[in-house]
Amino acid sequence: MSLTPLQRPLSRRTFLAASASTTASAVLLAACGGERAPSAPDPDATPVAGGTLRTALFFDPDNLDPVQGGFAFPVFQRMYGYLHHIDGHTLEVIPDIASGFEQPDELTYIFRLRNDVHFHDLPPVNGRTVTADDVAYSFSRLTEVLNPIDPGFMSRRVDSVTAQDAATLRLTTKQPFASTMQVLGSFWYAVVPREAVEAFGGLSKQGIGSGPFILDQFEQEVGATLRRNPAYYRAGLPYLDGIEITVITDPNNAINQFRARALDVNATPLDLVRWEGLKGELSGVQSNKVPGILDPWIGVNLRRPPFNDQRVRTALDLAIDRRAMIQTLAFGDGRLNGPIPWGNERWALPNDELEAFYRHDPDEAATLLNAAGIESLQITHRVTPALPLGEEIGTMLKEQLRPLGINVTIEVHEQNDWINTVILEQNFDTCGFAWFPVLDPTVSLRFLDKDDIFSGLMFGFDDPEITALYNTMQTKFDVAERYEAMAELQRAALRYHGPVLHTFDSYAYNLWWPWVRNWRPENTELNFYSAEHWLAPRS
Amino acid sequence: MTIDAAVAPLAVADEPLRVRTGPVRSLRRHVVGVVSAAVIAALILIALAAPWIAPYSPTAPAGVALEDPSWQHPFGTDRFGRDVLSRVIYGARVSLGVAVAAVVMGTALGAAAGLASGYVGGRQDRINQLLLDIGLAFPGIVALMVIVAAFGRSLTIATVAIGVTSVPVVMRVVRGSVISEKEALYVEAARALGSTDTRVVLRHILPNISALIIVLASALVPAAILQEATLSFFGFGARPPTASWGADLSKDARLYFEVQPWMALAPGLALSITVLAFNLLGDTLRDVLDPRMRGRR
Amino acid sequence: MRTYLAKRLLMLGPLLVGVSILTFLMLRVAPADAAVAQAGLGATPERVEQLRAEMGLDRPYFPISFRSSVPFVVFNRDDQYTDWLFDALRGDLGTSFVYDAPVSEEIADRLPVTVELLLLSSLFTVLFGVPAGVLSALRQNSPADWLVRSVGVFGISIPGFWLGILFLLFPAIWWGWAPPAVYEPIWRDPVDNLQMFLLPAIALAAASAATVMRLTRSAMLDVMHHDFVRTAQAKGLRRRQVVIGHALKNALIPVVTFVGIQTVALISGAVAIELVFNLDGIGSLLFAGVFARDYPLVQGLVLFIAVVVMGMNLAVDLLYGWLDPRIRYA
Repeated sequence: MSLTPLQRPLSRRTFLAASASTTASAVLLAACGGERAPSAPDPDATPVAGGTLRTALFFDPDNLDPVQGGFAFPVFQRMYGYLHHIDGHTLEVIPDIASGFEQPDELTYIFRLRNDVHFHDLPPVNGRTVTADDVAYSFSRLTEVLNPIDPGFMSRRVDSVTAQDAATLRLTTKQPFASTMQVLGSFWYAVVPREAVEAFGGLSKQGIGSGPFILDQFEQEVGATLRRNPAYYRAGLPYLDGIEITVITDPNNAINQFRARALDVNATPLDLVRWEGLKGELSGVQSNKVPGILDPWIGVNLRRPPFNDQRVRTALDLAIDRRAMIQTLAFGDGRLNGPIPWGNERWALPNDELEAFYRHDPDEAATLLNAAGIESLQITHRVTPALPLGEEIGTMLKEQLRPLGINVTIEVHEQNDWINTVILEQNFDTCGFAWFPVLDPTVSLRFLDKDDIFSGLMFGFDDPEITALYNTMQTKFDVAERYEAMAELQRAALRYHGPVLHTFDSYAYNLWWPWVRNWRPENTELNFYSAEHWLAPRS
Repeated sequence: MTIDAAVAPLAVADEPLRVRTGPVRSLRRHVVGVVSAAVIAALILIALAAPWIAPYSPTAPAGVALEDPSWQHPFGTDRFGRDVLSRVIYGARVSLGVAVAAVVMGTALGAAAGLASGYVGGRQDRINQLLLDIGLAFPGIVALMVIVAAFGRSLTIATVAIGVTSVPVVMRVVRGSVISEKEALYVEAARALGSTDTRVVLRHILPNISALIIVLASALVPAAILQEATLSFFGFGARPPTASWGADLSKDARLYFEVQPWMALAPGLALSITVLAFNLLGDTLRDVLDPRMRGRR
Repeated sequence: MRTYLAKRLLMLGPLLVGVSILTFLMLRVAPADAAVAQAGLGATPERVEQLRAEMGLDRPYFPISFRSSVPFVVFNRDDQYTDWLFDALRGDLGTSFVYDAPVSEEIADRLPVTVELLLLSSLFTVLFGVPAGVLSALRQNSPADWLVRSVGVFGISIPGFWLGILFLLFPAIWWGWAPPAVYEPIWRDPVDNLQMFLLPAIALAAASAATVMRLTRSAMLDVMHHDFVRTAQAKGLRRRQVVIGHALKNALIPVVTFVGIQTVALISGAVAIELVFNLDGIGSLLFAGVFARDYPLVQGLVLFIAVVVMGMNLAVDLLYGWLDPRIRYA
């Protein structure tokens, strides 16, 4: 399996070299990372300080606590600091609070923290320095609460996290776990001050971090405002005075607000047709499209007969016409998804392999159903509008399964209602969901780890062979070996036809007004890049 | 328009709606009514014959998505490539079916309750009055949404909900009418001749207020159509991908309006025309059947 | 009049009780459970049971329960309904899951939006409906009459939310105009505020105004054909005097009732309009609650709405009683 140009092997030496870099080179690294189109009409312009960026969310941020879930990440990722981030495309470490790290052996990581990172100057924290103790405390919170986003790293994989001194953190894992650095750079591994947790009685509505922005206001279903952190350790940043985030769940309204220039960036997912339409209609608007990592999937409840029968699941897989979905829902501008979405170019299976695997064969599907003794089947398919494409895929699914005597009933739930019904009560036959845009492949593959809450609890997945492949994959630190192991795992998952049936991904079609600069919608490491956004004076 | 407002003119009057049969005015004076009746008949026919007259299936894709109107697709196709005209035709089934079923249910129950309550009178009637007032404290859509919240979202539940919420209104009007009819001479006569109460109610009072009930029902149907459309628009009535005029106005129709405006215009027009026809027919029925309003045309 | 008033007020008590029982019952019948929703992420069956006990959801519903065996009737000291009712009387309408805040707080936050929407819509309803209805009746069977009546019947036939959708789509496409996304009270930024509320108020008022127009016309014609009007005409008074002096005053009585009924209907229509125009009012709150199966929110909100509507019905009845001389001087 040859590596594409993007997949530069990353040896341990490169890791260590990256860890020694200073702020300036970190910015440089980030700026040069990847072949992505420049996001400003004049990329060499000098940033101007000031202004408030107005953006929106198409789902309810719900709970602001990083360890409680993920819907609020566009808000809290901008206000908290992290040990580091990993650029999902280049795999480069982008240092944040940790200026460097060492990995003396496969199980041990030692992070050296900067001494000039402070929490925001608000009571009861009052701008004190961030210490290794804070990091250890923040990570330990993940063991107390069941965070469905976290693939059980802290609770199952980590042996200990200790502060050796104020600026040194030591973390050891129980087994070799190659995703460690990636997991620790995820948006839920925010560093929070203990005093704030105690003073506020939790971080669900408020928070104090060390990130580029300070939280001014947050209200569920309404939005949040953030203001500039004047003591941010990256000198001169952030450029913006503030960020205004409004919750606009109605896509029409969101687009209209963007049209009317009441929003600086478009915040509702677009498809090709609407993107092209708006590009043509709005003169001067900036746009780009980035391979999608939305990964809309169909989850199958393996506990419920007949879905525990692999023939039935195979039949479902054969009956689904993914190419028709791409034609209709993505207007042809998309590709098949394996267990890792194709937009995650580094780790996804090659397209021709997926093309060969995914066949649309209703006759064979009917044969399999007969063999399994199924004459007709009622399926309740639960979706939520908080995640795009759920209802649309469900609608197409219904039509595609109908000729096989399968009657799909689509139930639309509000986002928390969906979580309660599907995840907690496991009251579903199939469900439609889409992942958060995260480039960490282990998040996509977590369904195959049977001890993972999503896998075992939600779907009743219990295949020890596949789980063994997952664990083996985690022992491969070498990128090439890791890729191979991940490919094996993905193939096994495809052959299992569950617990999640992947469909397709198109692109993230982005639009923003030309006065927004350094806007890089392809990067989800908002903590880091939001500090670099700036607003040019509007002509 | 809510049901309550629709029947307001009938309920407000203190004077009983005493209907006397008389010569029906010639058809020529009621052109509008006749035309609307014809339109409604056509709609009912379309709804019943949908599987045969709709060019395509309402749920299976029939072409490229978001196509402009053409000979194959007079209203174009929707976001899934489904023929918009076919969806409008099948939508008639849902709108008319739900509305008629709900109104029949509500009228039957409401009339029965109103007859019983009005005729019996006394404390039973006062209790019923109280129950009525309680029922009327919940504005139309609010009551429907609570029922949906409690019992789930489906067209069946929507139908029952619309029927049930129209009972208080029907009951109040019928009761009012029965109370005054009770005093009429023919009722006394029947009782004097030894008719039982049931007989009096069913064979004497009921026929005399039947015109009122018909007029009521005709006013309730358009309101019921709009209520189902609103519920489906919210996602609380017809479940995707069922073709319902209200549901079709939901997300996609607005999202792709610049590209394919007919997704939003066709169901809206269908709704407007249908409700308009029923309203005009209702107006005509009121003219024909209620002599109090004679001389007003 | 006094007995009329007394009778109406006396009914209020049992009415409130009845409304509260119905509201309470409607959502207890629901198959889903509040404890599961409250448990949130990380819940286990044990935690849900624990929450159920904590929230008191395992208690009997009402103060009185019936049994099929002796003692047949049981009085429950600690029941859910009584707690809920007394909480509600003190202004505690429960806590919403979705918003994680007291229901009364959410209502208070959003009430100004809905009130403004309803006030504007009522204003349009009366301003257009009543004069049009009067005009139509005066010029019966004239072209003006036909025009007004046509507009009226169209007004009640076109779905309000569809009208709202069209009001939003066309300006967006033609002029790139969208109403402001964030609510500003009218005293803080009247231009922004009216930009936000004008179109939804018109969309909401359309059906209402049309109804009031039709009913006003009806009432006017009714009155105009009454004997006393003919008598006054026979006496030689000028038509205008007759109209203003007698007909209108008498027609006003049912018209007031119509407007009162319509205001309640406006509450109904406001739900869809708030949704279409993205107004954060009581209507969209109700929608969010029903969509999310947020039972405390729906329950508290519906109780609030019912009480308000009852109040409005009572006010209309009282006004009617005051206006109608037959009742006033009884």
